[in-house]
Amino acid sequence: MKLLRIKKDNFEEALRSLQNEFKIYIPKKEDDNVVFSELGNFKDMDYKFERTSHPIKEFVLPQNETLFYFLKDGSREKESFDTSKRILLGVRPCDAKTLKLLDFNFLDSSYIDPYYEKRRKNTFVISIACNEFGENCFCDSLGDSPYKLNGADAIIYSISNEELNLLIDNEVIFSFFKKYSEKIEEVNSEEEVSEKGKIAERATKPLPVKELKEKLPSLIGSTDLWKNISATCIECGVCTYLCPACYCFDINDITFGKGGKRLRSYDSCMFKEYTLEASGHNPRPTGAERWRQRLLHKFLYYPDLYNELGCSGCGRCIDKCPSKIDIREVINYAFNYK
Amino acid sequence: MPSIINDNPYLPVQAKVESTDFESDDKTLKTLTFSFLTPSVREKFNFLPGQFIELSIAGKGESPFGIASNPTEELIKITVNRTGYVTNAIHNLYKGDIVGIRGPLGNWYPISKFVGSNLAIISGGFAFTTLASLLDYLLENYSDKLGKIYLIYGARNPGMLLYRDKLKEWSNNPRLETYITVDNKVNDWDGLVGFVPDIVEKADIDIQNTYTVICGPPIMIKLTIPKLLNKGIGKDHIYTSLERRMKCGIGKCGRCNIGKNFVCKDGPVFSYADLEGLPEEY
Repeated sequence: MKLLRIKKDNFEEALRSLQNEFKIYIPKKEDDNVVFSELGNFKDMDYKFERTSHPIKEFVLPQNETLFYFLKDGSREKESFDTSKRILLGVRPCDAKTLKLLDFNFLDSSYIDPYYEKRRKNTFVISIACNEFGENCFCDSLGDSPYKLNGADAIIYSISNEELNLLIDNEVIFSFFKKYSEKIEEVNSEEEVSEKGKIAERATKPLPVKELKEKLPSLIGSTDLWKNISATCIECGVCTYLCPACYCFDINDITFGKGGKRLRSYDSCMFKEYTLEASGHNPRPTGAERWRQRLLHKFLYYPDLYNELGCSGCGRCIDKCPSKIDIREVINYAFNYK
Repeated sequence: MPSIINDNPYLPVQAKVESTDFESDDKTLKTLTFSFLTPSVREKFNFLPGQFIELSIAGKGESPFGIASNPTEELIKITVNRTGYVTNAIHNLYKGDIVGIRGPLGNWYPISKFVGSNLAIISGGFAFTTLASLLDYLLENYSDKLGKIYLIYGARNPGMLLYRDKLKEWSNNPRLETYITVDNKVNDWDGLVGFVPDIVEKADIDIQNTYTVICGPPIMIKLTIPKLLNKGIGKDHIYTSLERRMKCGIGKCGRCNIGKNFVCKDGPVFSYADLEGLPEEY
């Protein structure tokens, strides 16, 4: 790992040289949302890098993605891969972590997802340590920290008016920045970096996620618990669409003229149709079973399979829930349920 | 896990419809056979009874079907219940039409465990498909390696029984003890009458060292398993093949999980012991 001190002007020069090979995306305000959009005018670089309204999964698993094109008579199939290279600049550590969570599913050795794999290989992340907590984020309550690398290729620690500190954990990215930096230090781990700037700190209220994992198997049959949790849920699915770790998808055919394409699109375990079978049988017939699935997937199955929670604590599901359901309260409620 | 035939697991391999035949008198069930457009694909398409394919019709979509043919047969056979958008399109296929096949997918019945034991195959309705493949395959290759073989199979009425030519053949095969039943008494039926769980209860099954494989509608499975447990058959000796709504077939799209297992990738064959303590979402 290399710790670089770079003047802002030089940082931007390095980005310009990167643009010969990569498309660079930064958080940008669009109406009420902050979204990653391509860096064109460097005047847009205000170095705030606000947390985006949408997670970065869109860059590795787009909301809609063509798997292949076909002719209706079944005679020809042509795959469609996205191999463009990009850098996401100003990603929050919680979001950087979710790429690792998605890798568990899509790069699982029994079957590798070729569409995801190609996008993932070409997506680089330069994240930024948080210097304050958002209204609803809670990575610290899950035992994580808002200034960790979390699998990103580089992280910006502190920004003054003139310069910034950049920790780089990727040789390719380093090769672009090295000639522009004022000072380069070799470090063995991110813990060694002493000067991290103003970092987000607060008295953390830990969530009992480890204990909940142990308790969840015994709660599977607690019908009332799941009914209570799901009582005010309108099953709009926004929590899953905006969750950076949720990846469930649907596959459908779309036709035009003599041909068409097979498309995959986000789906949600909160939807009745998600598990509805053609016979009419539905193994998760009500919101109670669907909520149970969502909670168990993130806090029991994911840790069981991969030793990580299926949640990074970004808080988007809390921000946008129209019924004001707060996953932190759900975790505490389930943990204390008798 | 045996490899799926294409490098890209989402891309189907082209196959041609070789035959389409109504299987049930009410014409809701149809049996189709397929050959691959490139014949050499069949050599790579190694499957065992219990595995399934995703069959797609370009522009209509894709659905999973258990393979009903004996793995040693050249053609791939499935039986399809006409019930939704894709299955309607499949029922409208003609000989010579081109379809897409992905697979073989999922796991298979643990045949190696059955060696040296008795085996009871229990089925209801059109879930019999992969069990017919299993029975054919076992009689051909494992006849001398198994103890007693029982077949208990029921349908609503005689016209809904699958593979009736085969059933006749199996009923006359001394290697097998068969119990073929229909739900209600009807004319021209001189076989058993009654629901599968009740027939299982009454059947004289040698429970010593017996494995059971059970496939059918969820209600049949739920009612039959207690009868087997009552007879003293162990939870790890009861196997079932589960069905769920599926899309990707390779454990990625998320919808078919039961606990941390995916029916498509870790199943569809599970032992009752595997399923214990998990949400009963099947």
